[in-house]
Amino acid sequence: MLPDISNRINNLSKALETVIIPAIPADNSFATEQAALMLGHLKMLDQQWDFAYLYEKGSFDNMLALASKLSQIAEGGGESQMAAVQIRTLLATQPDMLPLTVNTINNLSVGLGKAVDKLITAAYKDGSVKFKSAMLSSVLDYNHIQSARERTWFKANNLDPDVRDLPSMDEMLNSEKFTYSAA
Amino acid sequence: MNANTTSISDMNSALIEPRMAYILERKLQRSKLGPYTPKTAKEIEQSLTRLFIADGLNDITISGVKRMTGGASKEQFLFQLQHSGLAEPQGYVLRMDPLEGIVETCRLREAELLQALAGSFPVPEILTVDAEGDSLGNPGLITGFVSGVTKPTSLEGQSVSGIGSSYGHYAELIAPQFLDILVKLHSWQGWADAALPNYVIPKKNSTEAALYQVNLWAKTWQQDCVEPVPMVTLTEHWLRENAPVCEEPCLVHCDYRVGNFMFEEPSGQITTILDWELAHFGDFHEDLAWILQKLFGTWNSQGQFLVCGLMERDYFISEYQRLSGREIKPDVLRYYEVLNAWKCAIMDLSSAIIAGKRANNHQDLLITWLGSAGAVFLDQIEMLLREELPNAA
Repeated sequence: MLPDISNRINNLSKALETVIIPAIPADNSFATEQAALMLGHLKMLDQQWDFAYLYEKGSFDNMLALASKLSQIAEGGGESQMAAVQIRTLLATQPDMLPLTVNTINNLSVGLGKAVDKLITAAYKDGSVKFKSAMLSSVLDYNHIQSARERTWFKANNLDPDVRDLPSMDEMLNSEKFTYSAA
Repeated sequence: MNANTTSISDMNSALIEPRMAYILERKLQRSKLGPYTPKTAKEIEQSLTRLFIADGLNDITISGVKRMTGGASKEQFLFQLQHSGLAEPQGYVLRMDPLEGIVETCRLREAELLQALAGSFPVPEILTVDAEGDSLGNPGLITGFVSGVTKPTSLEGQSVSGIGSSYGHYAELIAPQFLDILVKLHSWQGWADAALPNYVIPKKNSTEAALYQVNLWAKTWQQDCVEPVPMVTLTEHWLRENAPVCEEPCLVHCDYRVGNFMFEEPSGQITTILDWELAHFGDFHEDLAWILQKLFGTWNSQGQFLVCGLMERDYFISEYQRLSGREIKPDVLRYYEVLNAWKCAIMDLSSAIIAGKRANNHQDLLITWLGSAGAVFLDQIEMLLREELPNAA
């Protein structure tokens, strides 16, 4: 058996805590602060690494659903129509078999996100009132789910004033509550 | 990667303070010089000596250079300066830009403003400024050293950048001063006679106050965008469509919060207001909305949310109105709450992350940590826009 990733992260943390941090001179507060941040990042990495693909896949699914939804409801002038066509074309060319690494699936999300951005901008130029209103609701609904996922992903950063309202990592990754639907 | 929000040509013709447009352009160029390595005490000593020679000082001795912790955007150092014009060494603070940070601001503007405010407000005294980094290597500002602390030394539960700090019993002592200084700042008329050539005053009774800020941050997002975020794009357009009229622009600090003032222990007396880098002329609601952000507050033991860890929201709002004689308009306050949350989302989700990716900051670890809070602001924007849903689009 080879050393696994959790082991190695925990070994890094232990070396920092028991050897490196005690060796930092008491008057070097910058080094002490940096070491504390390293420990914090390592703790979060240990919580995240095994779920990174599942998390990224969920983000892609949500962006895909938003793109699909907006392209279905788009109406208005030429710019809105063209942006909607671009999204539909992009949706039609998504791979049947998704790539299996975090970065490659993130690249797909980025491509969809750019197309969504174009449609939002177009809607504010010549989208119909009905479409703009529906688009706002859709983006808010998508954001409600996706921002909850992102906040949960980083809940250990101690920066979220409403951390107690967030689900567990397991619930965020596996519950339908955190999947945006185009329906 | 561009965010596909507003085209660059649209941006160039939009309302942006000329100095800030230059600063963002300069950032683009400087970002290519990385990666950035934190400066050593020896390097700072040499840089300061170059600067003071250029300023015409003689018999210069720099000693006791010590890095200050905290600060997600500037490298800060304490040092002692002795020269032929001083009877004894004096303590100063160097505030210097890394190649990139969570916000890009201007040391020259900051120096102009601190000089204008001196004598009227508790601000650090300016010694000199190196606006382009000709001597220091990076743009920097030197101010007098001010005594005090930014958080109680005896309390636990402190966090990075002062965010999440708790003031304990000091809250009762600090809160009235915090309000008084804010009210005085918004009433300050000294700008009319001050030398502030790198600031623009938005037109009265127009939407310029809001649009200057929307354009500045939209351009920041366009430059620093790491990946598209639909909520950020949608919010930009919402902000343009709903920009409120500002009757009487005033000076706003725009980072007036926990961690950005110093006080003495045990008196609780505020000695200095820090970090004026985001200050500009705008709508007073912008400051209030910034102060009210959840990220800067804490929950007390009774489960009440305290604005900046100091006082309850309703009390803050009613006291501000009572002391200032101003009427806080709920819809304008909400607009600026959206704008500020959007600004913070841009700082976290673009500027912080891209600086960390390019290793262009002295605290890459810290800004990456702060960048992970971006979704907190997206959630806040969503909640605010839902309050207006029937008329929001």
